[in-house]
Amino acid sequence: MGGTTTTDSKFKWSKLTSYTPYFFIAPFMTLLIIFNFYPFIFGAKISLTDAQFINPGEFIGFKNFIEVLFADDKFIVSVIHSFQYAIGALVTQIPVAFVLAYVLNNISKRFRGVLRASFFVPCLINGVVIALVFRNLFGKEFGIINWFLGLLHLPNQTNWLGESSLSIVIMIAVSFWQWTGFHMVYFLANLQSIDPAIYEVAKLDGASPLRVLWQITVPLMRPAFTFVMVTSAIGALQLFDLPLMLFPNGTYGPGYAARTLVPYIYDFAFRQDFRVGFASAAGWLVFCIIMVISVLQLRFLGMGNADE
Amino acid sequence: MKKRLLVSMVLIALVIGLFSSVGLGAGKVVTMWSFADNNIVEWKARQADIEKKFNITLKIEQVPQNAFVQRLQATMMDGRNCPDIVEWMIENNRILNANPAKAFVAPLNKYVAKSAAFKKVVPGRVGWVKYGKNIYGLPHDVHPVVLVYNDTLWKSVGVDMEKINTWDEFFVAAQKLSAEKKDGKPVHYALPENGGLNGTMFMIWQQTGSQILDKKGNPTFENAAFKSYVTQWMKWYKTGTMCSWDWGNFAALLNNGTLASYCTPDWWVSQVDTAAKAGKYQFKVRALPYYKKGGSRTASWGGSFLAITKSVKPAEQAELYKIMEYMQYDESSVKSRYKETGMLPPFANVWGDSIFKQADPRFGGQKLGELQVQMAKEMPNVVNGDIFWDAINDFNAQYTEIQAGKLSVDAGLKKTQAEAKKRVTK
Repeated sequence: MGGTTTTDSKFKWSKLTSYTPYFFIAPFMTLLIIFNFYPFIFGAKISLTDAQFINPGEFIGFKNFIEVLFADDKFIVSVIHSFQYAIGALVTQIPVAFVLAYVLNNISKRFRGVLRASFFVPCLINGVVIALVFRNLFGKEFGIINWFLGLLHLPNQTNWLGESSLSIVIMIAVSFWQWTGFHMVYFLANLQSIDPAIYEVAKLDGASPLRVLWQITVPLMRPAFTFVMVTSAIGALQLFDLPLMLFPNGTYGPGYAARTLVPYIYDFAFRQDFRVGFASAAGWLVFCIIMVISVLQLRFLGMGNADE
Repeated sequence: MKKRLLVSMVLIALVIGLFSSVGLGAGKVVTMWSFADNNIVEWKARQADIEKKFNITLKIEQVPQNAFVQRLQATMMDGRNCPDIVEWMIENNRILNANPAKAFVAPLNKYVAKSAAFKKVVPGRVGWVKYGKNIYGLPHDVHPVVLVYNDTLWKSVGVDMEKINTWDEFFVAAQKLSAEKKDGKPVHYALPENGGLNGTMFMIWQQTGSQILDKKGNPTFENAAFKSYVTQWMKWYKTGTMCSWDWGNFAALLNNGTLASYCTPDWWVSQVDTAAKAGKYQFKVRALPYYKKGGSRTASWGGSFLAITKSVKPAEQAELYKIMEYMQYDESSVKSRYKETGMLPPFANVWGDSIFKQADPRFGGQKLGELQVQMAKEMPNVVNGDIFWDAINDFNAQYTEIQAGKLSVDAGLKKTQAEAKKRVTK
């Protein structure tokens, strides 16, 4: 009797252990389904309806998508603003982050830790807080930038946040301060993983430092470049906190000069017309744009090839 | 026998069902959402009394003001855990609509029509929650605007603020005040401005009597009266006597004399407290100067309202209305509201009370309450509509362009009108 029980329990236990990996990933998968897949599918469903205010709406096919693309010029303007910001952010942050990482990699370890932490800290600060701090820095009468310009006897009455031509530039500058250190850490980690023997061989072969950088370091860092460029582009195209909080009255800059894609969606869904269906359609289009850009970047940078 | 038993059971079930659907039922949980710290303090202080009076359990939840509408919308679309009563800020009036099918809350018309208390509420205040023919909320406050000024500073440049009649005169005098410069900037500013129809510009705009919507709720930004106001405002702005509205440092700017006066509703008056206590300057208070002689001497800014959400069953609305009315307009409570928070209730019944006639030491013994009551009686009417707050945003987006000289007033208003008009059709 006892023997049978032992055999049974052993059998059950072994069966159970074969499911162990699934138990481990179950919490993650549950959260993924609830917070990613469900909203994704629900968003797709609602984008095909005229849901507005608190009413779930009725099925209207692809009318919302057509309206976003062809009847609302604000969407195209928001796409342009998003791309201006994304390109500006990538072009300024990535080269500087790489140079910083390169410099940090070649200095004493004692300073490296302190400097790495200092550059990294801004990305730990909440975006809303950063936006509010920079709003104060760029203030017209009481802003520190105008105060400093005054000390240098330069024009100190510029209304930085009231100049539409400066709106995107200021967002790029704030983002540069916030994210350059973050990218630098990736580059630094990648630089430190390169086998020093490669450099030794190059040195023995008489390669100049510039040639070593260009022909050894940069090619070996392609995975880091790809990762940083793709994630930065995604982040830039999903920008929300800066345009909303940096400019007074939540107007996304003078003349909506800093209204990017996500604020555009937010306005329609939650702030102005409550057109949830329309905003979901716009959200899906933004997703498609980001996906296309990411795929193009991966192809261009060669990620995913057989030799990777 | 079985048949008789069945019939009796059905009848009993019907009676129980009928009674339970008429009122709230004993001990029912009434959930209320509010964004306002100050008000929540008051509701919590009165919670036991409200619960006892109506035999309910009042559950008060604080929802951040910048997520209020989003959360309400999501909860109501989902249909679960919806609040019964909401207290929202005036800038979130987007939840109201002339078409009740589109509003988040239920019209209160049939309840306010029978209410004696509601008849005492200042009409100018009710106007903010009247969309089309529907009244959606019970106002918590009036927020009459007065001018607080640093008498010491103004007198130091030879200006007696009591003798200033109009805003034109004010800005001429303001140039004397801001004449003293340091690093090319005025040492003292006459007023703060908040980047468009918000803050000072919004308050003075109400004095002009011009409107941005017509009575049907369509935008009219290009009307002559409003255009004239914006043009006039820009002239004042160019005098260089106004500084940016700095929320975080407002009290400090008053304390160090950088800011010499400000238009303020009752909820913002306390910014002067630190400076008044410091005693370096003598502060005074008065009605706003006229925009045009004989016009209005006040305005309002900010505010909150109570309403019943559409998730509440119609049969429960009457009882909830009674609770809300008690919360907003119970006489003894609104008097202590003024004492605790300095906010004037919109309920004219109590304005004769001695609590509103106290000498205010911050203003050399002037009677601020009396002035606020007087101003509340003179509150100008604003034509409201479904797109009102979005249209304000449309204007504000162009305002900075007008301010920077990139757009003329005409072109800025034309753009605003075009943007706002698109909203009407949606």
